Formats: sequence, C-alpha cells, structure tokens
Amino acid sequence: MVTIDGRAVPADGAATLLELARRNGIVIPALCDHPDLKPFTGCRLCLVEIEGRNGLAPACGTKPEDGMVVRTDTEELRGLRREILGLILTEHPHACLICAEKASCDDLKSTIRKAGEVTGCVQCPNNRRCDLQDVVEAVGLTSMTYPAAFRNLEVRRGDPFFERDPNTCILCGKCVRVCEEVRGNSVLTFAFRGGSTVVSTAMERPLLDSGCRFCGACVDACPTASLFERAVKSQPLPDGTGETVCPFCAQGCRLELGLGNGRVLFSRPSREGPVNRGQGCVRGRFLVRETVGSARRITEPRVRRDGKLVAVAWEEALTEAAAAFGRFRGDQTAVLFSPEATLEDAFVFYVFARDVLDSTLIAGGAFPSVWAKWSELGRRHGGAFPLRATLADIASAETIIVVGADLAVDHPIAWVRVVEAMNRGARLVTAGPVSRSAGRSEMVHIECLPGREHAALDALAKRLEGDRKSPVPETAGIHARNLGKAAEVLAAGKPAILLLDSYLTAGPEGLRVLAASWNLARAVGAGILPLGRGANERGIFELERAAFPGERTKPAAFIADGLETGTVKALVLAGAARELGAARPEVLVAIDTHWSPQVEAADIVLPSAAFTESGGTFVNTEGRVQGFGAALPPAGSALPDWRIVSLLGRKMKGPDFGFDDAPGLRARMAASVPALSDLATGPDGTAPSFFIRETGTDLPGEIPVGDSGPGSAAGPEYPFVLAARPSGVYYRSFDQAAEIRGFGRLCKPGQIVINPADAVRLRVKRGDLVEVASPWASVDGRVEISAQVPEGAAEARLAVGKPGEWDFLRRRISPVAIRRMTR
Amino acid sequence: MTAPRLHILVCSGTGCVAGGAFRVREVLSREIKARGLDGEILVAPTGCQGFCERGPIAIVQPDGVFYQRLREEDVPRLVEEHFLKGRPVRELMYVPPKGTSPVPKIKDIDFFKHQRLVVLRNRGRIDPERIDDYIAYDGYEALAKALTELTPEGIIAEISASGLRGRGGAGFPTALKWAACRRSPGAMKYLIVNGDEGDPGAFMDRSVLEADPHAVLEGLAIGARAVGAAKGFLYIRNEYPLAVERVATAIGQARDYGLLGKGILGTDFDFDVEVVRGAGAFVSGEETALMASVEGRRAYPRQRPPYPTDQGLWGKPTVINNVETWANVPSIILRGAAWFASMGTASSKGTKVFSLVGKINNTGLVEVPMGITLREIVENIGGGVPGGRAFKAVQIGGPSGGCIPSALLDLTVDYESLKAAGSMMGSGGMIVMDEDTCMVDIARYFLEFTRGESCGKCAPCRMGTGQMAEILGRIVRGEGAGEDIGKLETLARTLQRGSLCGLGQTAPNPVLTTLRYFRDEYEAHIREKRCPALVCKDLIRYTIDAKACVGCRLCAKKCPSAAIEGGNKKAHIIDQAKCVKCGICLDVCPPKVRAVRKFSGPAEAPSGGRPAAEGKE
Repeated sequence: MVTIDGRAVPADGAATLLELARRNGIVIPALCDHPDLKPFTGCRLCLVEIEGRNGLAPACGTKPEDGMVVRTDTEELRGLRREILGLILTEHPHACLICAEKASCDDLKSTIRKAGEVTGCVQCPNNRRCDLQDVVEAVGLTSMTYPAAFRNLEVRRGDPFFERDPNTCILCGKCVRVCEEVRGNSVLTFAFRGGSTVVSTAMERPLLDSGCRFCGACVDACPTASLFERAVKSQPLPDGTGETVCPFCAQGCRLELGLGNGRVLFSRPSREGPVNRGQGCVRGRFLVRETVGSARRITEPRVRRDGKLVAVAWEEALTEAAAAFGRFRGDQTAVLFSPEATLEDAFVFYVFARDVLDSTLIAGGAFPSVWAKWSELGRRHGGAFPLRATLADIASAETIIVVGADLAVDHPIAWVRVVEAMNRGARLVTAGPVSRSAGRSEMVHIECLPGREHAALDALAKRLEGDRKSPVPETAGIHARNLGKAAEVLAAGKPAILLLDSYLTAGPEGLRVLAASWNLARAVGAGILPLGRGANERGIFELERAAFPGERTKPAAFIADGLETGTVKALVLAGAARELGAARPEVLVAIDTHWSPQVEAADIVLPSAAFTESGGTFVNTEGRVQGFGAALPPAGSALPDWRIVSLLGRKMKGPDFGFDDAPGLRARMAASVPALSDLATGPDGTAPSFFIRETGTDLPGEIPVGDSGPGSAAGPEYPFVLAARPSGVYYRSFDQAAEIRGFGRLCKPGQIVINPADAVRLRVKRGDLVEVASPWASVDGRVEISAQVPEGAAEARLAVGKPGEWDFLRRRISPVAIRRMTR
Repeated sequence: MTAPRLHILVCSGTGCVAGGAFRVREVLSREIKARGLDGEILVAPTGCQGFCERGPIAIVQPDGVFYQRLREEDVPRLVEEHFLKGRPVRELMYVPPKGTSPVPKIKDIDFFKHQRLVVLRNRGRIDPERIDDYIAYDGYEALAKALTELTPEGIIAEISASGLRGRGGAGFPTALKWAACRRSPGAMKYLIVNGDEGDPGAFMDRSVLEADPHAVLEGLAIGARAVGAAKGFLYIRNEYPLAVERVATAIGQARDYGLLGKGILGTDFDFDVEVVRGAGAFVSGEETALMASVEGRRAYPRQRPPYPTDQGLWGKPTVINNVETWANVPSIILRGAAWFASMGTASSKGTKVFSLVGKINNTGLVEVPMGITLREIVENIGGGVPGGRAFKAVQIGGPSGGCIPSALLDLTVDYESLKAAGSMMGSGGMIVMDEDTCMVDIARYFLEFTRGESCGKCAPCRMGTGQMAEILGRIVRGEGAGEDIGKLETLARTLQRGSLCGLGQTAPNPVLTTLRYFRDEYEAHIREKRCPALVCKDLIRYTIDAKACVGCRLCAKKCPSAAIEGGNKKAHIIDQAKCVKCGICLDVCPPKVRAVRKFSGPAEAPSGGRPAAEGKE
C-alpha cells in the first residue's frame, strides 16, 4: 500500500507515482510525462514530498514502494509549482494565459486568430488542445512574477507537413524521446545548452535531409504548438470526430479523424488501435485528409458520349454498363480491383465475377499476394501450413529476423515493435542486399546480392545446424564473416520471429525465398510473419479461396495477358487503374474514387465512396479482422463498391443478386467463408476485431530451396543487378506521391540507388539522370548514392502504374546496364 | 654507473609548461652536457609542484634549493654558478612578499612548510611518466596488500574506518558507496574516475592526474577489488591534454608490469581501465550526466534514485569517485585507517587539496589537513593579500559554493562547518577576494556561469539561473528594485528544491552567501545606486580634484573617449556624459599628484565614495 495525500491505495503494479495518483483520481500537473516514454523528470511540476526522503521527488520518475507516504498538495509544493510554471512561461507566449479578460475573450475577442507569429493563445493553432493551458488552469497561475524572455528564434517552415516553432517549445523533450525510444530514429535532438537549448536536428539541417520519415509521432507528442501540422494551422477546431482503419498499407492502424464541415480535417493514430497503439506513419498521419478530400475525387457517374465523359444519373450509367457487359461471356470479361478493397467490396466482386460474369479472371491487385504464394508452396509440398505470428509477437521476441524489408518505411508499426524489442535487449538479424538499420549495435546484417536472399537464408540455416563446411555460394555476394555471428544470435535468443517482406515473393525467386524462410524459421523455432502491402490482401486471399475453391482463379498476370492479346473484351476496373498497363479492352467500366489517366480513358465511370465514407472491414497482415464505420457522407453521389456492384449485378442477373445493407452482407460472408465465420457474431454496428481462423497443419521437415545458382545472370553488357520495389504510394488509383506535394518530396520516386564505388566507375553524381536498361525494358531515374547498397547492385522504387516500370517490378530482379544520360 | 651528484627536478605541470618549463629543461640539459656534467647531474621532469604562481620552478636535490620564475637566459648562469662552482644563485630564489631576503630552501618557504601531503605526496619527487619512480616510493604496494592480505570486505572496512569522504564536493562517505555497489546484484560492475573538473579557478584534479597518475590507477584497482568491478573508466576533461597523455602513458606502463589487465600481480584478479575524454560541458561532472556522456549520449543528468551504485553506467552498478578520492586510497590501505583518521576533525578526515587563487600572494595548489582554519591557509600558506589591500572574503566550492567573509576566517575547513556557513567543500577551488571586489558582481559572475552551463533539461535551472542572473545584472547596473532581493531569495528556494541535479540545486549558493554576509552591498546597489567596492561600472564615476590637478594633460591625452577637458597648467574636468569609465586617467595620474578620484553613489553625497587612488598597483 502507498499512502497518497492520506489515502491508502494499492500500488497495483503502477510504474510511477504519477500513474498511481492518476489512477486514483489525484491530479498532479505534469508536462514531460508520456505513457510510452521513459521518465524524463525535466519539467519538475510533478514534484511530491515523500516521507523520509531528502528533497522532493518527481512523481513521474519515482517507483511506488510499499509503505511510501506521499504528499502531493502541500503549501510548499503549490508554491513551487507556481514558481516553476511561471519560469516556464517566461519563454512561452503567455499573454492570454494570465489575461484578466480570459473568461470573456472567446465571446468578445477582436484579435485575428492564427497570426503568423504566436504571441498568445488566441493566435495559437493549438488553442484549447494545449497541455500547457490545462496545467496553468490546474496550478492556478494568474500572474507573472518574472519578465518575459521571448526567445525570438526562427520558425522552421521548410519541411513538409509540419512546422517547428521553437518559441512555443517548453523543452519537455517528448518529441526527441518519442523519435528515439519509440521510433528508433533519433532525428530530433537537443542542441546547445542552458537557456540556448533547442530541439533541433543534427547540424540544424532540414528534417528532409536528416532521415526524418515524417511519422508525426513528435507532432502528436508535442504538448504545445511547437510542432504543428501545417494544414490544420489555419482551420477551426473540428466539430466532430470519427474513427477509421488506415487503408494505406497492410498493418491496419486505427486512426482518429477530426471532422469539420463534412471533411476530414486531420487524422491521428489512435491510442486504442490494437495494432498501432498510438503510433502511425506519414501516410496515416498526414495523407488521409489530402486523399479523401482531394479535388480529384470522382463525384458523379459518367458515361462516354461522343468521346466525352458526361455526367448522368446512376440508373442510366448502370443500365449502360450492364448492356455493355451483356455482350460478353465468361473469360471474355474480367474484374481487377485494388488490394485496398474492403472485405465487403471484395466479397461482392468475387460473387459478381463467379455468378454474374461466370469469369475466372478476377484479381485483387497486380501481384499475387504472399499468402497465395505461401499456399502454392504448401500445395507443392503436400501441406497447408498456417502462419500464426502476430505483430505483438515481435515486441516480445528475443531474436528478430528480417528478410529484405525496409521496415521503417514500408512496415512502420512492425518497426516500432522491433524497436520496442531492441530496447528490451532483443537482437536483430537482417538479410538482404541493403542494411536498413545499420549502425545499431543490436543488429547483425547478412549482405547478399539482390535476388539471392534465399541463398543467404539457406547459408544461415545450414550454419545454424552446425554445418560449417558447406560453401557459401560465391555468386550470392554473401559475407561469410557475419554468418557465424548471426547464427550465434539466432541460437541464443528464443522466442524468435521471422519477418518477410511480401515484395520478395514476386518474381521467379519468390517460392525459393519462402522455402528458405520456412527452413530457417524451422531451424530456429521462429514464427513467420509475412508483411503484405495492400490493406486487405490477407482478407482478399481468404475470400478468393472460399469463392473459388481449388484455386480456380488466375493471377492478375492472366488479365494483363488477356488484355494484351485481346481475349479479354470487357473489364471492371475497381480502384486498380494503375495496374492496368497500356492495353485497353473494348469495354472498360471504372469504379473509382479518384480521376487518373486510366480512369479518364474508361467508357463508364462510377463514383466510389472512399474508406472514410463507406466503412468496412479489413484483414491486416497478421490476420486481424478490423471493422470500421463510415465517418463522413460520400463525396457527391458516390456509393460503396459493394453497393455499386450489387446494383450492376441486379441489372444483369435479376433482383435476387446483391446486397442492400452491410450487416446482411457480412452475415452472408461469415456463412460462406470459414476463416471469417466470426464476422457475424459481433453485434451490429460495433466494429469487429478478431483474428481469422487459421486451418491447416504444419509442414513436416525441410523444403528443398532448389537451384541456388545466379537467377538473373546476363551477359557482360548488363553488369548490374537491379532490385525493383513497388513505390506503394497509392490509394486505389490516387498517386499520393504525385498528387501530394510534401509526400512527393519525401518519397522521391524514380531514384536509382547505387554503391559509391559504382558511382565512381560510372562517373555519375547524386541527382544525375541515368537510363537503366534491361534486355526487356528501360526506365529513367535520378542517381542516389548509398553505401547500404552492395557493389554491383542497384535499387529502385518503381511505380506499378507505369508500363516500363511495371516490367521491372513484375520480375523484381533484372540484369541491367546503367548509362548516364546527356541532355 | 654512479649515482648523480645532483637531481634537478623541473616542474612540468601545466602552469610551468605554459611558462616555458619545457624550454628551460631543454636548455638545462644542453648546458649541463656542454660542460660535461651530464654524468653527474640528472635533470628530471616532475608533476606540478603546486606553487604555480612562481613557475617555471626547479628544485635542486639533495639540498632542496628552490629556484623560481626561471627563464631560458637564466639557465647558463645557474649551471655555471651553482652546479659547477657550487654558488647558489640568490637572484633566482624566492623572496616572500613581506620579506626582502631570499629563502633558499623549499622546506623554509611558508607556502610549502604548512602543507601536509598525502594525495600530492609524490609531487615534485617523481617523474609522472616513469612507473619505476612511482614504485620506488612504495607504489603499487597497497594494491599488492589489497590483493594478497585483504578481502574485499576488509578493504571496505579499512576505507570505512579511515573516514574517507568524497572529495568531489558533497562529501559522501566513500566506503558506503563501495559497500552499496558491492551488494548490488549483477556480474558486471564499473568504476569511474570523475576527472571533469569544471569549477572556474580549480585545477586540483588536473595536477593529481599530471603529477601522479599511478596513484589514481592504483586506487582504482583497489576499489575494483573491493566492489568486484572488472572495468574502470577515467573521464578526463578534454581541455586537459597533458593529463590525458600522462594517464594514457601510465595505463600502458601498468599493463606492461602486470598491474592492470588479466591476472594482476599473479592473482586471478582481472581489471582494466579506459580513458574517456570529457564532452566539454560543466554539467558533465555531475555523476549521472557523466555516465550518459561515457555511454555516448548527451550529458544530461537524470533523477536519482536509482543511484549509480544500483543502476549506473549502462544500467550496471557503478562507483563514481573524484580523482582526489581515488588518489587517497593507496595511502589508506598501505599506512592504515588509523593513520589517515588521525588527520582532520571528528567527521572530516585526512587532507584536502585546494587551488588557492585570486587576490593572494602565493597562488598555487595546496594540500592541507582537514580542520585547518581558513586564516592559516590564507595568511600562512597564501602569504596574505597583495598590495596591502584588506582581505574581504574567500569563495570556496566554485559555482556551487559560497563566499565566506573575513569575520569567519577562523572557520575550520571541514564538510560540516563550510556547509553551515552556506558554502561547501566543493572540489576545492578557493578564490581569495580583497576589498576591491564587489560581492554583488561576484554573485552575478557565478550565476552567469551556471546560466551558461545549465544543461537545459529541467525548467527551474534552465530559466531560474537566467532570471537570477538578469536580476543581478539589473542590480549592478543600478536598476535594481526594492523587491529584487526577495525575488532572488524565492528563486533560490525554487532552484534548491526544484532542480533535477546538483548543478541547479546549488547554483543559488553564491547569491545566498553574499546575501547573508554582504547584504549591505546589495542594499547600497539597490537603494543608493552605489557600489561600495567601486567595481560596478554603471555606478561609479571618475572626477578630478581641481585643487590637486597640476594640468599636466597626461590623462586628457590618454582618455580614449576624449572626455577630459582643460588646458595646460589648468585643472582638468571629466565630462561624465562622455566618460566610458575605463579608469585610464586614474592609472596615469602621477603618484605625486593623485588628482583623479573614483566615486560611487549619488553626486550630492560624495562622502559615500572612497578615494581609490592610493595603493593601485
């Protein structure tokens, strides 16, 4: 028991006195405390008196001990808090905080809000959501003893998404600490000392040049307006809130939405999100507003008349679409939809393709998902083995193996869990061409050439089994010296988990990587967690399995081939316009949220409700099923995809087809898809959250990895091996990198990354324009130089939607020549 | 080989080196060789002798003749006269400030004869770069005793019985720290030597590291045995390159001799050390900040508990002690706790090294037994205040300490008395001030120092030191207000109670002690706009006594702002609007004339001023 202000309360495993006090309704003001961070004890507002101790102790940094007698509200403490807060306010614009007119100001104020420079709360974008305001209220400060010492430092406005105003900073250090402790990035840091201390970057460079990934964790941790989202700065406070699940990758972060005037004002990672627990990334934090509120939204049905798309009523557009499709049968028709489609949408797509079109040509995305590949591997080796590892397992693992992934960029929540594990002392073994988290002492990296990841894993598994004799394949570019060290780490640390980037399973080496991963995981006793890309790839795989048992559908490549050869005559293109390539069918019906060149070429365009408007259910990469409601009315007359396809199907097949309400649709889905049978059990209206039911048994034994000779050796005229990674910056057909300026500055699409030694050999500098040519295709790009890429290798992030780039992506690994282009 | 007839011990501490000691040594060797005396006379460098004000210094043994302020050009004569012809050179000897005839022998010099050397026992007698010298004076015998005759508990018991307390400032009993670390669970434990001496005017640790690095290493190894540590770090200011170099040399030699590393002295005891150079901030001397710095992070202090003995470097139990504390350890183990405890007072045992600086005749490094009075240090060892000025106060403990006034000169030097007087032992800086020192200005100086050196982590220190410095700045500019003293006292309380680490908690001490002993000076500044010590520029003015002025134009010619008017043979007048108060007029006015006066206080009350012309050096 701990006695706080005369009340005996059980310590109950509270980590700090502050937490214990809060839990028992005792308010202690605090500005630098954060539930996810280690105690900082810098603001000194939460000082308390502990009997038998010299001096005062910060409640945020003191562990409750049995028998402790604590006083939080003595005359001295109240005085001290007023003094300290008064000192903090000498540097912070405080006119409004202590203004006698404060109470009536909101009604009477004549001041311009949101001035360029913050001199008081009424011009502050953070007004009424500011921790400092709350603390001034709680401490009861009404006047200032000491003269203001306004710092008048430069406001940093040059970076995307948010601004840094050191003049409102109270140096609580939450931003610095969240960047280091939670995000493992350490971009923000304290600079200088004493009264000159500021939060800055190394050498005060812009965030863009400091390795910042703009996850926004610092912005959300900031208690004042020192770090503030630019887009929200000049906007009124939201008049409503909403919740959603982020559709921009496969992790499934829950986001809180601030709503105003029927628009999304901002999105923030939700602390209640079971996956993300308050963390997110640049896309969830800053791109939702820009994406669903984009001026490129499609708001009404359109039909091509005399070469122009003209607005028509839904009835007319659907009738025309039904008639156009009615001319073709079976595999003359196809459906291509995006991996961001909800379960509801995808289920209706499958039913539509199977029961209305009678087509086997349906795919949710351009790539076969990692789960489809996994299941193919199982089928080849006589089993179907379930993947049961979760993102939460990463945090509790002792050893983490990461294969080929750029976790911090592509799977940021997985990375946050890896950082959590490393902070606890877990070790990290990475394998792939590029060492993504170089410099961390917890990490051992096994370098290999692109496309040789399976060989690296294979060599490691062999080493782990005590086989020191097997030669390391020379052609793989594997450094043998790290193998022993990695094997030691893997042998020592249990539990272990293997994270596999799904992009590795594209291309001809895909099954080998899976097999080698399986063997290594088996040798270590690790769980495997594939990290998918599309928000609902995992769910779509389950639907496909259920709708077409026995793998009757064909991968997207068949659709692409059918379009090229002309066997596919009519296509429903739902949010996947970027994956179409150059070929056009006779009839193209686009169901989409945003205009794109491909959508503009369609015969019929049907406006689709965005995720914030339709609600729905996603299955994330670990198999977690998460439902979410509609937060906003649809843009214009847009409808959810499942509704559009239901109506279209009805026109073609009769009134029995399709669904009128989402709960009914989910009940049907639960009944017909075994993995999703829990979907119906949640009471209507509440968002379901559960893991899909995995069936199958573990594969026995080791799987032969197969040929480990060079997979992509070409002649001397193609001396480099290019690894192409999808840039993955789309929502449906909306190209976020191209359309959202700040994001474009961050992702720098079209970069070709090469080793410094190769740059010297090729006589190219950073930023030079080069042509990358394979025997099949070529792309242009700007050179970036990084020692993280091995010699002889090149890496590029390419767009799915561009035909030349798609050719590289589909193969993943290509032998290439790199040539400097002259203007 | 025959033993040399004479040893010339040339001080090679930083002070003497800056004065040209290396050159002097070179010329010495050259001259000796030129006269063919190199077999008879040995020239050896030593660590700091302590009497830095008189450097470069050389001591001729076995006679103990003390030469001071040597210049290259003195050397040939010295060699010729003394070493060849046996006639000591009186012109190069020390003349006490109040005497007229030189004192030839070191044992008769006041500065040396009142000291008691324990930590500095080897100063001036060994070459710090030769481990054999150290061993010749019983070096590493204490370590041998600790490893072969004593148990770890026995070592701690010995340290405990000696009453040794931390020499870094706070005076925490060393044995308690060691015992706590020994008790802490965990196989990996660390030791740290805190050599990040940052107090203005303090150079004790530097001298110990430069003069006797092996004493610190030996103490450290004994400590390692006692607490069960396998690794030690010496954190040394990067501004002490000579100390870093000598310690590195010493470590190399100790490893070669099997006194560090694996299987020390043939036992199964392993211990090794590493030098870490300081990050260049005053706060790095705070133990938790220092550990953060060793770990490669920003030197930010953290809340205690947990104490370093439970969770220190990289979260492992760690003992961190000051250089001087470690250097005391070998003597205690070798000569016994009772010997050590026989020096000092009931609660403060042994000796303490101080750097005696400021307005004092004998500036330098002194080691005195605990319990000595301040008067003995200032008057006997220090030789009093120069220029016939009156002693005013002594500042002890640097920015964390306080000013002790002349009325308390008979205060004994021990942890408790100094604390009761509002100051603290600190690491040993002792700055003597005479009557020309303004105590408000001194307080302002220290607060400006802590303001600049505050790490910026906690709010009270970051902004409280700044606000205190601002208020003091206003007061010395004559802009002080009635409530300023009250504000200073409130801020002082906020800093003491609210700050995260010792830097902030003790930063108000210079203000609080000056307020306690020199409150009238604050009030004179605030109420009368007068600086009693005639220091604060905004509150003083220069005038010319028309009756005394002979109109020589000397002052008018030198005045940088052309503020002095008056023709030949006519009394001059200073235009107060133009005067920049540089004091050149006062300095150039011929001693026979002494017409320039320095005043402070309202013009209508010139009696408040004090003619300050006499006694200016």
